[in-house]
Amino acid sequence: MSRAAWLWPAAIIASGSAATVATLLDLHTAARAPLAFWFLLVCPGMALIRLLRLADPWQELTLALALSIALDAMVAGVLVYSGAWSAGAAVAILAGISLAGALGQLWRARPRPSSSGVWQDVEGAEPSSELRKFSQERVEP
Amino acid sequence: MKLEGPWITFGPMVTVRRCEGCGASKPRVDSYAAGWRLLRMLEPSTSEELLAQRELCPACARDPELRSKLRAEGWDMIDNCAHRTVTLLNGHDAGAVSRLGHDQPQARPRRATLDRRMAAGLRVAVAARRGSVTQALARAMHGMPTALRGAAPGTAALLTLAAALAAWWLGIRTVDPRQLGDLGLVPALPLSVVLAVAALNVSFCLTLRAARPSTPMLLAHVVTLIVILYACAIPIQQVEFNAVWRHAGITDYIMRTGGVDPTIDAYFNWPGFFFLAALLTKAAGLSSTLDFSQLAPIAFNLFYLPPLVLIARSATRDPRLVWSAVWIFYLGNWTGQDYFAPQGLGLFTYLAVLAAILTWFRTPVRRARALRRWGGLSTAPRVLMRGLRFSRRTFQRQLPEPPVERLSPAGRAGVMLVCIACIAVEVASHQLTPFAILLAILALIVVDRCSARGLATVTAVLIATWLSFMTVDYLSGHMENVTGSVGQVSATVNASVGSRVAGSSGHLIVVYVRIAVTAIVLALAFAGFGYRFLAGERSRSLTALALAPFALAAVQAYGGEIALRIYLFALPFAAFFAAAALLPSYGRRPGWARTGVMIAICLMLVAAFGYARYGNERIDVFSHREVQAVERMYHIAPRGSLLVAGSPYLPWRARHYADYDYKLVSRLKPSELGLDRPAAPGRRNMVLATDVAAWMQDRVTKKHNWAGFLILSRTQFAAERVLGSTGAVPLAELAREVERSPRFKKVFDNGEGQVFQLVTRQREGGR
Repeated sequence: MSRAAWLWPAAIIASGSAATVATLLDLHTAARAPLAFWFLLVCPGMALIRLLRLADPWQELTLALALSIALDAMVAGVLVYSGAWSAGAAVAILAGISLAGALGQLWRARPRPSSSGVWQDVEGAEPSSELRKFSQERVEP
Repeated sequence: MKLEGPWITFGPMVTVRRCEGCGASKPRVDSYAAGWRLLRMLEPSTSEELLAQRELCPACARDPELRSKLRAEGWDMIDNCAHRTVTLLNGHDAGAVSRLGHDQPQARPRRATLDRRMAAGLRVAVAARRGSVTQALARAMHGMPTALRGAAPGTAALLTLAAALAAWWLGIRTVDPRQLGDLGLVPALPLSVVLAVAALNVSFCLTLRAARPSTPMLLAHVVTLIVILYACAIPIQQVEFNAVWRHAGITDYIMRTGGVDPTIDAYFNWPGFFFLAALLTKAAGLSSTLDFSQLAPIAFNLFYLPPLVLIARSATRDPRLVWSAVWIFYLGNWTGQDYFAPQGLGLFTYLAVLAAILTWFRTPVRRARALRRWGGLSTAPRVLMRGLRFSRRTFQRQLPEPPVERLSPAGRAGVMLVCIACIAVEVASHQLTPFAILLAILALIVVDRCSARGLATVTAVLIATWLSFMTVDYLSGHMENVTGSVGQVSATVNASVGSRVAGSSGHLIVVYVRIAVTAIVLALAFAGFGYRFLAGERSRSLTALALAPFALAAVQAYGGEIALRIYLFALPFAAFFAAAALLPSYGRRPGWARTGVMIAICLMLVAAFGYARYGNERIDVFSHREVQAVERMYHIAPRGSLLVAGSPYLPWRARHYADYDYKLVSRLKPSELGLDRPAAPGRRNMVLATDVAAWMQDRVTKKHNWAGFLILSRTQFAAERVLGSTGAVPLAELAREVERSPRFKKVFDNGEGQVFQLVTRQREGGR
């Protein structure tokens, strides 16, 4: 499994757990507000949107922010209208949704037996010296 | 076996990644418009398949034969293109010139009328004459071997950004909010802030001149611009705008009671945003949204960035145009609707839903159909068009739009669900934005650019359901407010624009600057639309989206704010066309003259932004003493009292939203105060104070309030001076009379806020 594949799920699970603990125990630390904003505005959406495997980070970010906000408002709204308003419960529910999405990402990215046809994404890789030489010899006059 | 190491790429374009050795393929979406356009121009029959970049996976790349074969094929394609360009330039190949006019063999090839789309080809060819043809083409086309890409380091630009941020931060902290005049924040700004903003704009325009503008560098410029333009309230250490305090009160009510009472006011009938605010506040361990609402403008504007990029990318692959459109949006967004309020979030939802539709649910352009439609025109319009020198060819000329993103059926379903969830939350959050979303989707359907037609039905059903079941308490008493302006376009425009041109001479300048900046952005957009149209770069979807919000004027006056909202909803798309007017077409690099014009327009827009956006600061920024006066009033007044303010410009209701009976003198009708009747004989002095006291007494008796309090503050008087008196009672006069009236007793005064208690006549017993 490449680093990129587990980085987001790990960040989402860690943020969700920390935000839930901080809210349920009502911890008063300086990090609580940034953590809560980060978790509520990014993580639930990112956990689910990354399952769509979108090609572009701007697309991922747009939908993740939009879905996070929508999920937050819907979970909070349902709790208010059902007379069970509690920020701790809302954060716990959202952490559960995020956890499910993150586990889904890990499941999809699990290592599988490889074959000769398996693709390895090397987008950011440095071009080989051979390729560099090739392009220079063809392009420079 | 894992395939590690770099891929070797051949050929001019990147659309589909395919290993030529083992045949595995994978779509790749970083195709570049410039290369694609150029090839399409030279060979209109070129298909995407042909343009696929030929690649070898690391395993197959070990095969030297395969490598040399592909290398030869890739460079053959480039050499062919170069050869064709040179032939075209010399006018030897008539067939190719006509093909440039997009499959019109009947068109006569005339050098003088060569399509503008040839410009890119010509540029390449001119370069080709100077040096190596292959080199020129290779440089013109993106998608070349990765080693050739990469941006200039841009150290100077980075230093400019850092210096601009530092100068802005140091400068803005010296501004004293109490010294602001009728022109708002700009006259109070130190020179360092002005220079920082100017340097930032110049640096952005110069960055666009790079042969390959670096996306991270452009992004850094935009983020710096957002910070500098939209975070001015943070260093001044003030919570701006009275509505922010009110919204804090609504959120506080939800946090305390865990419920909503739709009978309190309209906000509780559309509480979606406040649910989110309550959750954020509680989860962050804060006591009120006032603790973080200062960050709302910068946060909302950062949120708008990703969908804005996607929207621009749906119409062009030119990174210069994409980032310039984003830049113009932020320079033109003077409306100030990004404070901590449902509409700030509403604009994000609007942009996100439309970005998703344009990215994944855009109907591809069907060329054959378009040709038939124009070919089927009756004779009269055709003659007219010829008379106007717009030949059929001009109208038929259409370069391909960027391709629609491909996604699996499950992925499309997922994106659709996200859109529906966003619309559902927006329907529960704001009265106007869902209608703007609905109109935009309908506009895309009308121009045949939306394949998700059911989304319009879903939106309409969601709106109808919410209005029918969840807002009955509000609508039953305010139906006239909602439906009264349907079809009254002229009255609506007058309420939105005409009635706003009032106030002090300084404020009038601000209002005229607002009208001017709106007109400039829209005029630039119109020019950009024409420029792209003639160049064959059609963007029917963005044109429809820029026009759709204007239909809102026929539906709602929205408290005299509809013109502002229409501009706001049209701005993301108008900004795209405005940017197109400033840049050369076909993704070419702007010359010095064009860069100069762009710098001038950006500087003008940013100067106008300062006056338009921060022109009301004198009445939007509250002092700590005013906040103290309000706190003191809450301390003195028993719950259930009548609290009266001169006008809404007061930092109150952030707590105890439903605990008191709040009223505004400025909202009272003359008949309620008895001012429409001729003054009784002998009533010369204390008329206003007596009338207000009588009205308050009446209200206290009727509503069984505990007591009555009147609060007057510095900002209320300033608002009356700046905006002009809007109510039946002149506040300055009222304040003078109340001081002397026996019906009021002053219970607090700190120089910037006075609290008066009504001397009640009937209340007995106390609390």
